[in-house]
Amino acid sequence: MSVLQESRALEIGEAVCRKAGDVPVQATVLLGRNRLTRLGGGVVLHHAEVEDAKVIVRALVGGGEGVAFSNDLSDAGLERVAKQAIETARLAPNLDGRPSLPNEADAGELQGEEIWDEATVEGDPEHEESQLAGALDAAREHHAALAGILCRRGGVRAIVNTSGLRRSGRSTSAYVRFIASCGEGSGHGGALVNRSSDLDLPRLAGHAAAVAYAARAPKSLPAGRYDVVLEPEAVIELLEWFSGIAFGARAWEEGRSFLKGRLGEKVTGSKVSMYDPGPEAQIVPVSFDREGVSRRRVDFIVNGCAGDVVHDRHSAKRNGCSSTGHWAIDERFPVDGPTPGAVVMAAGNDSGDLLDGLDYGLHVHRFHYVNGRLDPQKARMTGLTRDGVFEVRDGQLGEAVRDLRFTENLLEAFERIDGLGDQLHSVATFWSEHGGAYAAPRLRIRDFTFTGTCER
Amino acid sequence: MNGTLRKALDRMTSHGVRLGQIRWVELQLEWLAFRNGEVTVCNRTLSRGLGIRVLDGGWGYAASQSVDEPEAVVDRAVRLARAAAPHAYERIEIGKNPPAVGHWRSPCKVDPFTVPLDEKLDWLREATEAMGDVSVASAQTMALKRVTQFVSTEGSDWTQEQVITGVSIGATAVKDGLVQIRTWPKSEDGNVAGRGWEYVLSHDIHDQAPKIAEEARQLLHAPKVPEGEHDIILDSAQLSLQIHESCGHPVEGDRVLGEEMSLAGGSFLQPPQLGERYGSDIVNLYAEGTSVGAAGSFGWDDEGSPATRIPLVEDGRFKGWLSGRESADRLNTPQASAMRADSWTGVPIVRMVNVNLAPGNAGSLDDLVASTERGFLLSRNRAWSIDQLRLNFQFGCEAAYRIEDGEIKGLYRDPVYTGKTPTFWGACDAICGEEEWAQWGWAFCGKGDPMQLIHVSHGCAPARFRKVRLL
Repeated sequence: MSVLQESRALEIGEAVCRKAGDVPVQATVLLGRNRLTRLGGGVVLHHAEVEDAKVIVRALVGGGEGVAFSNDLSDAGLERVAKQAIETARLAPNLDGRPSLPNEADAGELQGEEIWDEATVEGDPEHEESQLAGALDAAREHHAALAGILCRRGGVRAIVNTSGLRRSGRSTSAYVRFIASCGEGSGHGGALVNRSSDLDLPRLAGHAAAVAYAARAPKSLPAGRYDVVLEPEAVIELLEWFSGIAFGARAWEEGRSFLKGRLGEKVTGSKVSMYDPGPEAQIVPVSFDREGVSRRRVDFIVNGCAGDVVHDRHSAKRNGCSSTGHWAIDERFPVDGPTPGAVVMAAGNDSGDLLDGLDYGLHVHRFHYVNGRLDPQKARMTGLTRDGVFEVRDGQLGEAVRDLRFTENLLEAFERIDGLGDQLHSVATFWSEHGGAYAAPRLRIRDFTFTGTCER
Repeated sequence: MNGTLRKALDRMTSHGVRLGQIRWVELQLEWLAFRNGEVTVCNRTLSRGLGIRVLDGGWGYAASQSVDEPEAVVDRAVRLARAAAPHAYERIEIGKNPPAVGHWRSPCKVDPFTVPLDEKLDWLREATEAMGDVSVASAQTMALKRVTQFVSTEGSDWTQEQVITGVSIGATAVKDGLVQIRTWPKSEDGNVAGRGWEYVLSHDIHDQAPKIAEEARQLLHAPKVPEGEHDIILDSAQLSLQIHESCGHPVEGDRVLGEEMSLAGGSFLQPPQLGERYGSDIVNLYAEGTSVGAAGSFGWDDEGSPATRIPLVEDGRFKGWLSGRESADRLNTPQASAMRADSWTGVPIVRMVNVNLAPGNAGSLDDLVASTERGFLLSRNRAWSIDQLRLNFQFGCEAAYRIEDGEIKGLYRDPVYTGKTPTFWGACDAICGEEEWAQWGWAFCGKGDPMQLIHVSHGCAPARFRKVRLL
């Protein structure tokens, strides 16, 4: 029987609450199983399977909060982690603004359904072997070496607290990120889906390899301003940084977010809308956050005008609004307050590859190592192209181009969008393991600023 | 050897695999953060589990938090290794590791997990209070203890206890569309070291807090750094990141072999370039897993190889790779004992250890400034970006100080410099001496796919680079 049982997670949560005595405590239980295949240099580097089960205990004493994580789920282990959270809360300074733990009514009605697929978790060795072999073959057919990651994941979440909240859910996801290399070129083929059976590995590897082959002997172009078509994978790299610099309550409260004080005002081009779909997401929908509050859709930018940011219960209380269900926590590092689960850029009405609108320009498949801290008020970012850049002449793909560095005020650049694809595509990001899926359409932008080149 | 590891090793032996490595890892982690008078992070983590790596045709890895049935975890790892075989490298050579037995421990005087929490929180709070009127006043510490027990089918049986601590303070001033930040002693998650709580307390954050706050406020009114080519001096905190991104990563052997393409990318350095020019004659870089008290130090790496030191760049010429047993064989290079995993969940991969820049003979930072006719001294990192081959980089720093006739003349905001790795290091004409040399530890180096986050360090002293493009 699978260890990924909601009943087991709820039992662990309830056991923690029993050990807390009369202290308000929340137990967030996470059970997970990841099956991974890593490729590189045209071979399988390893297969891996990782199973973890952990509990996050949050205790509130007066106005103080303490959080402790543990994956020691023995009776003594649960006792220890509950005690540690409570001791921490007792020592933390009292703050008037700290909210109580949510009960069922506070947590809001659940919307949407999370998606579970047993086959994604357990796997079908014969089918997976055949898919993998097909992917490696597809790359070889284009004289390309395949690298990448294939991940199939199942996760259970349960939130139990001493205010009577008891929620659980489970979801699956699968993603692949293939990079094919050929000569100086590389290409990407990736997708994030709910069920592993929705991944067509040979097709994605073949796409990556075809791009790599076409890009194998690039020429150099000088830095400058070019009209560009950005593939969704490139746009998603930018959305991750929009999320980090502007869409969370903390950045907004501290005045770092370009949305601060501008609700309803124009901040960028009217074609641009960005939102966290919450439970409405088609891919890896998440119906509640790790404090149990129902996740809501939040519109950050609507037709170019400033919208809202995401909140947890704490930031919501400070700001006189409701939590949007975005309490974020990670045991590995401090999280910058409430964080979007995913950011989606709304699709437009333009079909096809958008290249036909370019007399001369560049077709960019992906960005790499984007950094959005240069000037967060302008969403000024820098980054590099990767995995395929091609000249476009009269709407037709031309020669491959060596990678370029862009440095651009994106709020301004998005005012120059004149093509917005009608299809959304999702790929895995660093945040994918928290649930939610970034998604974007293809974009055509005029006069995009490239500031550097990558030839030696 | 504890009972769990004994059971796992016996099972592994019964499978007759080519190589089996069994790690039991217990990780304790604590993050504390004060921000504008509020404890925003007070997290303590315990994570422990079994990670089993098997070579038998291909590589397999299985990890579990549950140790009720270690034999089942071994069976899974063996099954995965054999399943990988049809599509693995045809030839996998890992050499022979002599059995390693013993114990290694970070130099730690004060166990950070024994220090009362209220003492830590008070210490941080006082620092933020000393910053006065800024938009964000923050202070943060981290402490990590990783205890590893390792046994292998080669006869190794060792334990090690790595202790990592770190500290940072930051002041952010926001006004009229400008966001200006100053941190100390280093940006991001501060400076981290392979030492105990005594390292954290060696930082006088209460003295530094008002200074960085004042400078953040001043930056709101400072002129923007002028664009163009300038001579620059990098302070050693910024230089440590420059080393990390433009030397440490491109010499990782797995990147060169195309094994890291999916996330981190490849490298502009390739085997035929060994011996070729990487930087100027004064540039000497080396990887050293044995640097005392540094964040990238250990006794053995996570495939059981003893920490060592290898040259990476000597007299400006590229000399060696970071590698593990398999990648060293593929690259025909001495293995660098650089296979690390961030936890029991992670498969060991080639990682940086401490990648250090040897000191030069330019004396103190004051001496270096005094010998610079015109230029800018750039301080601490604010933004970083580099291409997938580690060639074209662009770094933003928190602040710049204009140098004229060997003297600091004024504060400038938003310095951003960009360049190509070999050109940049080729333009290095002065490195400060041992009196300025220090280890700068980074809490998070992200690599692998799924990404693993691990601590590394870079020893260096401030250095000068001629004719660098500022944006």
